[in-house]
Amino acid sequence: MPRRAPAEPIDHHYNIPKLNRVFAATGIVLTVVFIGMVVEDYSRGWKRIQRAFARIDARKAREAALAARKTALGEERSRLRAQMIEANRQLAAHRRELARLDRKLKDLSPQIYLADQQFKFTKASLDAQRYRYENALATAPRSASKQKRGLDELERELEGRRLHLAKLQKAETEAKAAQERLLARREEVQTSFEKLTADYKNSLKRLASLREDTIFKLRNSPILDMVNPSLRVQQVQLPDHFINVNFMKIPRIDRCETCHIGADRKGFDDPKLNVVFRSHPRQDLMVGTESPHPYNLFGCSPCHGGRDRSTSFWSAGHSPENPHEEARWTRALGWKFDRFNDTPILPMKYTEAGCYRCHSEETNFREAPTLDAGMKTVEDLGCWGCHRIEGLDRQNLPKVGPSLEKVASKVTREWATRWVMRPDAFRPSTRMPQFFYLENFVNVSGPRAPTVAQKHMNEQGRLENDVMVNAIVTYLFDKSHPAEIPPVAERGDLARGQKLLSDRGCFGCHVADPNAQRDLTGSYRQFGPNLAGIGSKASRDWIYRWILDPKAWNPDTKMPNLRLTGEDALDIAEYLSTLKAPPAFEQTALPATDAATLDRIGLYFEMADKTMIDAKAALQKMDLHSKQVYAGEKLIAHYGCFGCHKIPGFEDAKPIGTELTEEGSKAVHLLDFGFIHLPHTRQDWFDMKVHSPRIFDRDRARGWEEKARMPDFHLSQSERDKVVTVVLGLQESNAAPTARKRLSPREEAIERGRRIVKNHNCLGCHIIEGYGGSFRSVVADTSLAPPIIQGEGAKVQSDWLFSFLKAPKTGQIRPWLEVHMPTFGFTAAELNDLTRYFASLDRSQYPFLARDYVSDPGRWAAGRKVFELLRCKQCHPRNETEMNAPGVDRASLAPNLQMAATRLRHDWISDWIKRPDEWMPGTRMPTNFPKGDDGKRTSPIAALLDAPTFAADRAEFARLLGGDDKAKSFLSDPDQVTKALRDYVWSVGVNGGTAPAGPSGEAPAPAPTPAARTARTSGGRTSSTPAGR
Amino acid sequence: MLIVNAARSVVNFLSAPQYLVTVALLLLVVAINFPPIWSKRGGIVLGISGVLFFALSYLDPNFNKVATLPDNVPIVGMIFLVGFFFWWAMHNAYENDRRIAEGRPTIEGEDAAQKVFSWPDLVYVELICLVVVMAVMIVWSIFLKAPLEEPANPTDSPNPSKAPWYFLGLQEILVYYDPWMAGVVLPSLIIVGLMAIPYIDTNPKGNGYFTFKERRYEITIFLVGFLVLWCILIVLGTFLRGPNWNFFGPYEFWDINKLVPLNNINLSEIIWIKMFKTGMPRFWLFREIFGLGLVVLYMGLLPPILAETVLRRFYEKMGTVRYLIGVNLALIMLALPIKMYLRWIFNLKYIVNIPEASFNI
Repeated sequence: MPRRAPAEPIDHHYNIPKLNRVFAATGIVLTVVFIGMVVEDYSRGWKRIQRAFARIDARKAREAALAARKTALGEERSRLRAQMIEANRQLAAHRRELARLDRKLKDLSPQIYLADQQFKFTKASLDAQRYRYENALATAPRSASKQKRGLDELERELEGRRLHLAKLQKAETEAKAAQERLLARREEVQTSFEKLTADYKNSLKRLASLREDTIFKLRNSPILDMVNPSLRVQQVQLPDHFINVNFMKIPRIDRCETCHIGADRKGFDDPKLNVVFRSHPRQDLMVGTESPHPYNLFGCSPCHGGRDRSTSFWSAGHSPENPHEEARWTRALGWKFDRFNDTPILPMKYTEAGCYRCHSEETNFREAPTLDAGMKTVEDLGCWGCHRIEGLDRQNLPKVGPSLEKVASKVTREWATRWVMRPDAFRPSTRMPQFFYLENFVNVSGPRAPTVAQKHMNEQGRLENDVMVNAIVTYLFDKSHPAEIPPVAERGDLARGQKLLSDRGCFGCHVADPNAQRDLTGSYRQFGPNLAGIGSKASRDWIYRWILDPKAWNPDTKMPNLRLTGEDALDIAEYLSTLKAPPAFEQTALPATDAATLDRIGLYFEMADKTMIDAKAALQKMDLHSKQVYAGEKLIAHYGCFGCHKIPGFEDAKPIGTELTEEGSKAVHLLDFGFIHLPHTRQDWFDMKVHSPRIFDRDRARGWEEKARMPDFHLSQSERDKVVTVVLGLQESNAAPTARKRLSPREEAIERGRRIVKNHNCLGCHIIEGYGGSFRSVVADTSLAPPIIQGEGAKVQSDWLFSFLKAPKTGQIRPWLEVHMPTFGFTAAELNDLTRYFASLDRSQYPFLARDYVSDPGRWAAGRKVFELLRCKQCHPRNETEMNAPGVDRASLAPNLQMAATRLRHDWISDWIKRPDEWMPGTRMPTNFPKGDDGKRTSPIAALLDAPTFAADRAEFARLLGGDDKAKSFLSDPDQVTKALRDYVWSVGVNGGTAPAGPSGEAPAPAPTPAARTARTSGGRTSSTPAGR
Repeated sequence: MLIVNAARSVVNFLSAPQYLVTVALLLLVVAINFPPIWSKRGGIVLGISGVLFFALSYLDPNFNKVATLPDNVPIVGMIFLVGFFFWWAMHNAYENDRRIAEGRPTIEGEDAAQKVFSWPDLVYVELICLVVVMAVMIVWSIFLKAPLEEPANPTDSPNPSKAPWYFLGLQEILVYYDPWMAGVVLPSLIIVGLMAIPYIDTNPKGNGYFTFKERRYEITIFLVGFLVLWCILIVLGTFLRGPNWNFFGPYEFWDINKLVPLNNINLSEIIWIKMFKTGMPRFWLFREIFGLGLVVLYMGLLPPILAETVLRRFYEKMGTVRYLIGVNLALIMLALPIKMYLRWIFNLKYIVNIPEASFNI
């Protein structure tokens, strides 16, 4: 149907010109908005950072280029120039020859080409002809002979062509060789020249690539940047690390390097540089390609936390370390708190928490000092007594506090009461926390002035605490096992006691300083309690009995037996009993028991399994004492005292606190912030919780039974940081098992050993693996201090070490020492673990040694001779007689060689004689075989014998070793000489050094050097490079 | 400051669901019968006071925190949009009513007399709308980033857990009704009821033009259902329900520790234990006989009674079937505020509580 014009003139409902204008305006608005959208989408923060980094990089490249230019344009260049001129001049003399060769090569080239082609064509014809011949043989034998003729002819032709080609090629090769000979010098100079300028050229190229030129701008302009931008998101996929998205685990894709471009590059360490550009400070450990955690496998977020895929500062989950930083970030970087980020980046001071997730099987974290110290703090303070922590659970730690099974015989009721009230009033360095008279009982309003109702609550809280303290002490004293302490009539010598206290080694684990502050990680000397004030705690008779044999009083004690004589023990006890507590502690008023409050507390416990009527009746039947015992037992269970102490009646009690195994990933909303205004982050809550454990009860109106129970350890700021680091680290690992630290059998053996070393505080006296030895600072003369344990596994026989550690004898090795190696009463399993630990550290044979050492009589005799010649005897006694000979200064003696065969490893002895300075730097053993210029050990003995004074000795050696020449070569080889000495030393133990021990033969391969062994390692890995051989 | 705090307390107090719903119901009924509000001046005053209320409230940190969440900003917009269109409709309705009274054609009628082409009169305007909406959406998406959260975790649900905004009304009903009722029966009936409207309401008046006078009851019922029982509940769920689904006034801090006793009891308990002071009968039918009786009374007996009394006019106009369906739907709608008031006044949990069959009303 054709369109008809409207019957009436078109009348519009709207004013069309006005609509046009509106449309134009909205169109312009939309265009502007669209441009804004593109700009918004294009201008990402990381692009700005990448540009800035490129500029820094360019500056560095320019500096490198300038430095390279200096080298390239330096003296070397002019020297090479001169050489070049010289070479060219020499060439000029052979100009004709060169021209001839050139011509010849030019002529030869087409000839060879042609000959080669003809050869190939003939070869092809030959192959075709061979087929024809074969085909003829198979199908028409009569025509075969004709084909054969054709084949033979072609073969002849090919032979000729081959020869022709070979001749031409030979001529060419000769010409070329001649040419090269002539040109060689110039080529050489040319190469050196290029080498000299290579760095410069490369750095110029690099500089050019970093320039923000037109191409750079085009590549990175909007829309065009979809092709191949140079500013781009840098990402690495981590197949072994996951994000737990609740129903599945997806691999992490780290984009941190989009901004932190310099993290895995070296040389961006300038502290003035913005943090975002800097290199990772520990590239030997992290990020570096050679490190155990290379960037391409570990990225950043598996350890640091945060959103892996994020490319903006805020959404990545950066967490400020303190309010100051928070304010700065908010102002400068647009940071704001992200309540939806479940795993924000760990604040810098807690970074090491990230290590624990994969390394929880280890005992020490040497590369993570904060975590290491935190773990030690958590172990030593006994956090795990109330809070189960799976990693520590596996370690079977001994309880932190002393056994209270016989407490009534050890301390007085008054002392125990005051101690429970305020342990730090008696001993500021104590690990025992304060349970009572804390904020939520006696100061419920915190720093604010209490209201009338709160005042009343405070009074009531004090009464409740009084009752609790009395009830707990009453229970402990009521259930305490009876123990007899026979009185000692004699008096000890005070002064001698004081001296012995430090001489015998007590100070390896104890201090006796009333002002000492708690230091669990800096010193190993606070392993045992501070002895200041001990006289107010325990009687002289008890101390005497205790130090004489601690295990007799308490079989589970960590205190070892120092094998003191009765006299020693008495003197020490006499002295210790004079160390009294501060008077303020002694004068603390003892709490009274408010009967009504006690009833209320008792009733609460009774009502746990009774109706109110029955509970009241049961309570009415009790007298005051049994009420206290009843309430005491329940309160001990309520407050979890048994977590740290062995208490009769609580042998099988379960820990009372929240399990902390995965506390570090606990949802923040599950943490009760109460009415305390804190940033809602895990670290802020944990920090506040360990700082003031009861603070979240503030302004709450709770009964005593509802109030928080965690005691106050009075942690210092640094202790808090360490503990919070550990708690934050307690997380489920989201890494594949292959990416987690798995201990090899050797590392496992080492970890077990380290655990025993930690549990028995061996580091208090000894330096092991480069750590510990606090006691050495107490001893005036370090040669009288307990030895540094280094290379022990390579040095001593495991079975000797086993029996030594099981029952060390006083004066066994160095009889002149005052300090005693204690008898720890290790179990057989522990002893095996320890010996294995030392052997594993040094990668030594364990546990058995083939003892078929054989010695050549001649070598043995030579050894004996060398022993005399070097006057070894001057320091090393060979038997008791020599050791106790008159005029011998026992303090300057070296170990008695009589024990060598039973104690030392055969192959170690010779190695030790050869290089004692490497085994134990600073040893008093002289280095008889110094290093020569080539770094190899030399023997000076052969040269020594050339002197006329030693003519007789020389003749003797010649006789023993079968000729002067043989003797000379023998004596100038340090390996031979030290083995000879070893054979002799060995025989000293076996038969007093009268004859070689066993038939002749070679000893096993030597052990690696101590330097390699003590190389600091992370996670127990050691380098096995044998050095100095 | 004192005045401000007093004002805050008053608003906080009035925002509690029981007062909010009551005040909204009363205001609605009064307002639609009060013409000055629907004049242009009334509209301007309403608009300005609304803007002023929000502007001042944004100064309050607690209000600000909730109202500026990217999720909640559209609801602020919804308040103004719904308010505007409500005013617009009523404004035109009153104007038309006046015209009809004067015997003049309605606004729409006047307009419809003239015919124009769809281009440019319709399509051009639509195009401009499209451009404006696009520009607004782009600007919005640039300045209010999508409120993305962590991946959902079934063991760790957010507190408060809120439905999408358009379901917040239903979520509010969950407070008063069994999930089966609030989540299944009532939403289905809403849809069925909306579909049924053209068949029940055959009154041709008001077709194609705004009017209030000619359809006073229909419009009032609709507005109670849509504005009070739907929009207000959405606003309530968005701004006034905090952690643990507790009520928080608009200027109140969302304190996760807030506790409110929920000591609700069933009708059967009220009758058997409180009134009769005897134990509860064991057999459920006997036990719930009063509740069931009430329901039967409400749904079965009330319509015929109403038909004979108050609604006689409707009954006669609509016929039995239409009347019964319409009245039943309306009664079900009214059951919601009734149940709300029963809860607020008597702490009533369920009228009928048959756990044996998982059936509760």
